[in-house]
Amino acid sequence: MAAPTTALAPRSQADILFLQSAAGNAAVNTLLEVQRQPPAARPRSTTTGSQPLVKRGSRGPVVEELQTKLNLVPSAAPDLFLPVDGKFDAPTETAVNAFQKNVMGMAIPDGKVGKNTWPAIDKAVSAAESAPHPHPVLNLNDSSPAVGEAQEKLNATAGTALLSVDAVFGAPMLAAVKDFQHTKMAIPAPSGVVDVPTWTALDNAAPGGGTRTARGGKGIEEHVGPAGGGDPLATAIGSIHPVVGPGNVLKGIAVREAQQKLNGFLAAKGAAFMKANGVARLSEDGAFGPKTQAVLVLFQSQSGPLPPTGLADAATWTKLDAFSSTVGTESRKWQETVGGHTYGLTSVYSWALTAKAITITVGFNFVPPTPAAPMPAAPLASWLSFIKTTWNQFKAVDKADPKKSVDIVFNPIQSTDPSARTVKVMPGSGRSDAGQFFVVDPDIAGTVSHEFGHMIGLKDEYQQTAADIRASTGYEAPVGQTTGPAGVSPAQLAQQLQNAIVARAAPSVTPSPAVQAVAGMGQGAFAQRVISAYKTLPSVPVPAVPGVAAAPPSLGVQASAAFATTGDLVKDLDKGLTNFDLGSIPSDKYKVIEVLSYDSGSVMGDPSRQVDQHEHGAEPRHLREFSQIVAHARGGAWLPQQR
Amino acid sequence: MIVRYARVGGRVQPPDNEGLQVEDDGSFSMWRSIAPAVGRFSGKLPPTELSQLRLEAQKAAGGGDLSRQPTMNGSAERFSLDGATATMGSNDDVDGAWGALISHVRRLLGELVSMPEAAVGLELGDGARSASLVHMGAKPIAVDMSKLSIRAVLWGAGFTKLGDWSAPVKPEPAQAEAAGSWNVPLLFDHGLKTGKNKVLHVYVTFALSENGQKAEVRVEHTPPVPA
Repeated sequence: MAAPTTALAPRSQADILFLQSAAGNAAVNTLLEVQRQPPAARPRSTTTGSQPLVKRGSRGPVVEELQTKLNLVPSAAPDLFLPVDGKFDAPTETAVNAFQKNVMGMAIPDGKVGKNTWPAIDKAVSAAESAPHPHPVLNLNDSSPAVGEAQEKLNATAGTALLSVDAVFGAPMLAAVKDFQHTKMAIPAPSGVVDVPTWTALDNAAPGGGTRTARGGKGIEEHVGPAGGGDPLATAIGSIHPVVGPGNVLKGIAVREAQQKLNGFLAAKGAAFMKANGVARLSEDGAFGPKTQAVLVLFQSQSGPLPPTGLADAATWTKLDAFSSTVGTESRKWQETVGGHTYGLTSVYSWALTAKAITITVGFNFVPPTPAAPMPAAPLASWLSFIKTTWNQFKAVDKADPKKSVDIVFNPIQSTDPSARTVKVMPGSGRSDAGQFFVVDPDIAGTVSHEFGHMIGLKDEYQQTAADIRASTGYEAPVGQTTGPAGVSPAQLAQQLQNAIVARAAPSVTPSPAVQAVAGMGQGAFAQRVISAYKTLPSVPVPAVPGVAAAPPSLGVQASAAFATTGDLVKDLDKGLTNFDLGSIPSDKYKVIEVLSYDSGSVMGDPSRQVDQHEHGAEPRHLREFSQIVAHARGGAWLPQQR
Repeated sequence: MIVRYARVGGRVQPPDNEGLQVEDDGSFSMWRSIAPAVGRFSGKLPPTELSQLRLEAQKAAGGGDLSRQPTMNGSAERFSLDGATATMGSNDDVDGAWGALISHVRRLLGELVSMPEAAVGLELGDGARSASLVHMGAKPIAVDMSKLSIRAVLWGAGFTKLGDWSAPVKPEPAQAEAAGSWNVPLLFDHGLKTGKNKVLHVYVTFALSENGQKAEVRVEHTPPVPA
């Protein structure tokens, strides 16, 4: 089903009424049809009729699109659920054959998806998506996946993670429903019952949600939230610009960016101003000389004023950034919290904008395992190509004129510049991380692409809180798993987890008491109930742990101080469950926090953690920074889209 | 004791969990979790190697303690001597007083796998069409295969990944004591086509226990891949 990926239509009842009066019911109906389409269910590429022929051996995003769509058509081959991996392999071919035979009625399926099969698949997907989605009436104290869906919609309408998506209709939800009925449905005395009119209003205000039955009997939960929403870019601590001027950066792209922006300032002031102050348009040569400094001092005197230091420092850059440039650098220092733990990183890149592309250059400084060792033979070009495969799929599109677009091109290069990320090239087989790539690592493609995301300032999207996942992805925390271990209440599990924190079991006790407590749990509503129950427990002291050195197979225990529980379960688990000796986070802690948090299925969330039929590696939201750079230079609003 | 070494942690599961201790008389005890054979290894170092190691340990001790922050998500190492300790990220390059000892111990960690005491190895047969876990050494070891998984990755020249297959396997009984001729064939229907200039790597993940201490392990078959 083809649909705009950016629903820019009005959403509130007032907006709808305005549209109705201005454009009539037909326009309203058209709007609602668009809004009723679950945004996250729309496969990422929806260029119906223009998809290329794909067949056995084909690879890439188009195959991902095909697999996603085939999974949404359960009638074609009910027993087969395809991993969305972009590889047109034997199972994908089997599914295509089944679709052609069972749905298209082809006597001899050819297993190829071309000009006839693509439209048929799109039509079948459209039919599956528009199938009735039952909405039971919900009352106080109900508990069901539908309650979770309503909570998602209430959160989306409120524009904040108002309610824990715990699938329990409690007092907070009752208040939220009444508020929604009063403010959005203009009901003077709201009942607080989610009845048919309320569901209709919720569906109109926040499309999506619910679980569809897909191939293999699997349920695919639809996202609730604006398509393309969310901002996974980390917030910079301090300025993203280096200090330019004497004693600091004197040449290069940052200087050229400053010169372009100073020229923007001069152009805005006009020729008379320039003549009166004895300055001329600067040569944009990237070399900081007396003329650049003179204009910079003049700019500072006119801006604020700023102290006339002749240095482009953080305060000066803030003012300079009002002007545009076609080149720039960014050094973004940032922090993120993953699994209750705070990490710090710095991302560095440069960019250049031309008529057809914005090119972002990021440096890797590949070094041998030791300074004295020779550089091992290594597939350096392949590693960089993994980045291009994952990330070079997008363009920035002019919202006012979608025919205008600029490709977003990432250019990872080998560089010895101090700003480049130093990565050791390790010979042989091994397990790569941010600081070392092994030449024979079967998981290197994912590692490199994920780490590159950090290098352009993107946060992780795994082990996140509901508010974090909402902020990063734009969609509400999903309902997920609504049931837990049989015969154990969330309150009991919360108590078990607090006991495990207090006991501070050694990480090498397998499985640890905390892992035993969450056995049978998954991400979603039930886990959120455990989190809520934990909040109500009184704070208790957690004793200090003396360090025990590792003596493999015992992994040892890292010493840690006493503390008191805070009511924040994930943070208390992070602090309270003991780490391996030498500070590494044990798998047990990871496993426990994993089910009590949320992951996206994108490259920044790690598809191996969370399979999500709606997310495929890099997503347009990850590219928003670069479309905004284009917008700043070209004017108007530009949005990232799949090419 | 001349040197006691541990490497633990890392982002990828199961975690690194490796240890080696060499005594004054050259006897050693080693535990390996991610290796071509996993479990307990023991024996005695040759006199020349022992002399060299002793000299290197003395030099390192003279350099005093050393502490370096491991890479994020990487595993960490500790080298303990009488009177000095060094901690760092695994694969950190270190020169100076500690350099020779660290290189030597890391090398021993690979070489001493040839001296199993109570370990489990991986045997491939039938042109890499079959795979079995086998006991190695003179002593028994407890094996937990309840969460065993096997993965095969086919590599081509230039470190190109040509195929990737994995599957859970549930051998019966899941709990066993590996001793003597203990041998567990694994379902290994990978379907990858091996041949000239192609190298198959195999990884089997399960758990071992020693003295009630359970550890997740991964036995690996990772021959060199042509550049």
